[in-house]
Amino acid sequence: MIISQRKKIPNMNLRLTIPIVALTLLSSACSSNLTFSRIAPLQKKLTEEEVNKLVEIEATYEFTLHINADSSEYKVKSYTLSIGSYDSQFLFCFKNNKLLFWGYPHEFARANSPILNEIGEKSIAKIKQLEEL
Amino acid sequence: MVDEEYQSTFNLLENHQEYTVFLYPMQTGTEKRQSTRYSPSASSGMPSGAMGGGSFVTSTYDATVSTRYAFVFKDDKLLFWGFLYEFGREDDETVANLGAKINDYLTKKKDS
Repeated sequence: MIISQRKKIPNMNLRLTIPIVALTLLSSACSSNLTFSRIAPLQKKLTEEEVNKLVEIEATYEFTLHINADSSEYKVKSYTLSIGSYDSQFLFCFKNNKLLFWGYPHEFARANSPILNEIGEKSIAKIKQLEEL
Repeated sequence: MVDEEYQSTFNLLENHQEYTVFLYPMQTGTEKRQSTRYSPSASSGMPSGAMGGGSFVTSTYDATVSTRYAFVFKDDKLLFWGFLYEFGREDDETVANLGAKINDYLTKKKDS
């Protein structure tokens, strides 16, 4: 009797393990947030389409900005970057459909470029405005 | 200064120059995880002493989340350090190319 009881335990384990593993894989595949592994291969001058292919998810917000420091138009896409249970904003900035800079808003603020500083500042204001809608 | 064991180290060639990369796991957050184990002594709702007693017990804990952080040396001197997404952002072409090569190396290692 004891032997037959022991035999049941691995089967019960297996029955529980398969749905748990399937659910975990499904939830990670359907994740709507950015992860570090998705942004690691980014390179400057990638097109927006190439970046979309790498990150595989939709941006939370996207908008264009006009910067005082020059007359160009910049496109900004904002994502949620997840690190464990901590979520934060992560921005991609394109100029003429080429990736110019990417990072946390504070990384735009400390970049050695007044244009990037202004893009970071205006992006935060714009996102705040969009969140309030 | 970095009083931690590195996760891996390897050499890369970029523009005929050799660079040494050290990767460390940088703790960047925590996440809730669950672990399930079978406990023969836990109550299964069955009458005491019944065959098949015990049950699966699930507990939740905070697990550390780590992200790779790289240090790159040339001729034993520190050239650049950062998360992998920071390399490609650099104006210095060598650093940007090294970032791409580190990613290629890790992707190939993962696939093999």
